[in-house]
Amino acid sequence: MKLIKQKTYKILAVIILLYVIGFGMLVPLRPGIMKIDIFRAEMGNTVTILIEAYNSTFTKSEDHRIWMRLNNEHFLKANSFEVVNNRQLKATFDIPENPPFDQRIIPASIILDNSFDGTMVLPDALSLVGDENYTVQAEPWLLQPISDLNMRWAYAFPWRNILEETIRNTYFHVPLWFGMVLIFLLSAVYSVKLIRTDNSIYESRIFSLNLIGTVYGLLGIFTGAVWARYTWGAYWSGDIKQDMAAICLLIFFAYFLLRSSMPESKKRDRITAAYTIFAFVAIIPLLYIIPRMQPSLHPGSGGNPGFGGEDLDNTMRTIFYPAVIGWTIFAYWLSDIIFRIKEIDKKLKDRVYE
Amino acid sequence: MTFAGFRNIVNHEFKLEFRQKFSFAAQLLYVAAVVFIIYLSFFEPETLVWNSLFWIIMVFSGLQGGATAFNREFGNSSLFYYQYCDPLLIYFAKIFSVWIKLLILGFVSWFIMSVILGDPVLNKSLFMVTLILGSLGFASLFSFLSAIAIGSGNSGLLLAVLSFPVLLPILLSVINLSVSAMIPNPGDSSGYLMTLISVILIVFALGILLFPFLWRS
Repeated sequence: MKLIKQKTYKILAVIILLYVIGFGMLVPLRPGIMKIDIFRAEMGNTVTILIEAYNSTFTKSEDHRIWMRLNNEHFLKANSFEVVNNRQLKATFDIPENPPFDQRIIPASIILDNSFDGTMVLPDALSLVGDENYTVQAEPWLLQPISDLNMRWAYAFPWRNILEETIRNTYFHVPLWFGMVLIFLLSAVYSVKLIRTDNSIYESRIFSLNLIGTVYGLLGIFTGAVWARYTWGAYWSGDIKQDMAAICLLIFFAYFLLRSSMPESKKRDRITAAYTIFAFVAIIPLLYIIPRMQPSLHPGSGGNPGFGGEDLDNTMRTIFYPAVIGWTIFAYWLSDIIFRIKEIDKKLKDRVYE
Repeated sequence: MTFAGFRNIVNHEFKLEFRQKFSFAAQLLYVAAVVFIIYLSFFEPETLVWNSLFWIIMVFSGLQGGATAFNREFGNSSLFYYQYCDPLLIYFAKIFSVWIKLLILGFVSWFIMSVILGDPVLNKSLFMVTLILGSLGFASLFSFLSAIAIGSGNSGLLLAVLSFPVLLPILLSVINLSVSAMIPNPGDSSGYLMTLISVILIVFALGILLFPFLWRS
């Protein structure tokens, strides 16, 4: 019975992480439009647009409907379409001569809807350019508004244009940082306990938690850098969030330096515990306050929405929240192993000296 | 914890400082020498270069001042201090004296730099506020961390390593604030001011909570 009790959280961590890795990697993305072949179109012409989509199955359905969307009121429906293959589709638009409002160059989104794949959107796909002496004429743009979209529910991750398949990193990068902050919080709690009671058993706890927290931080920085490579264009772009994350790691590297610079004693235990509390309090503004005040590409800073919104829908939540719990329990498990190694080391040393 | 006790310790601190004049004089000479080296290598540095060099000089002066902050107290006379005063009193007196020394150094180096390299500061009052707050930030951070670093053998090096990551937000806001004191049409800089003040408050609060425990050991 005791054995089961001791192992419950470990089994839980393994199951959750297997679920997270399995489902996070295998569940497909929803179909979405990757790109179209033109960037601008003159008003008054008939244009044919080649739409390239991802994960779509165009041949399975016949009822494709394609719109250009200028804003919430003004739409243009395609006259005809031709399915090339599952991934490609040609749509022909008769663009009216005059823009619907007083603006010569208008960005337009492409919306594609059918009964098999559901609805796909490509925001700001192309610019419509009007004649130099245009007049405002709204009627042709109001004829066929968007209606009866096939909102299908499927167990799939949302298609986001720049993220694409890298959206799966949400289950690794983000929970690793969450886990790191929780682990450091736990280590700060043990530090407070150590300072209050002077019990040196907490010192091994603090050391092991800080070690695993730092490893998580490193993994978080690496996954973040890889993600940045595919979405922002470079592994390290000097983004304020990246810089502050690096500084956080430096603070905790300094902990190990401080710890190794002193001989083992009650005094060292106290000093390192005080530094751990200091470090934990210092990383909170570095990670969560300063990046919010400066321009940044990272979600949750520089005015970007942090969480939720369109980047984390209900399908993703079913994996994301378990991922946070799983990675955190896993970190605690790792730190527990290191803690026990440290304690055994201490006991062995004592025996040798005896 | 009384004001009289605070004043006594600060008095004592400055008396000791004046007894060995050479350490403070050495710091002043250090500032002058660095400014002269800058002059020889840059002649007339641009505004941004002037600014960053000024704050680098300030950081290193602060590190030197902070590294020696608790040398005396954690030495042989610590038992005497321990019986005699409240640790928080010592902590605040220490911060105060380091702050005053840093302020003197800051104004002196501003003076020397503006004589030799030219003075790019347009908004003098904003720059002065930045200098006062920045020195307070350096003083509180270095005093607290030197109390941590003093336990190890090589405390000067350790202090530098421990303090640089935390120094960065202070330095970042201080440099941005003083840049906005040097350019003709600065934007809103109250965000940096708030960051600076809140970092200082955090360091103060941590010092109040943790210093007594460090002191006891």
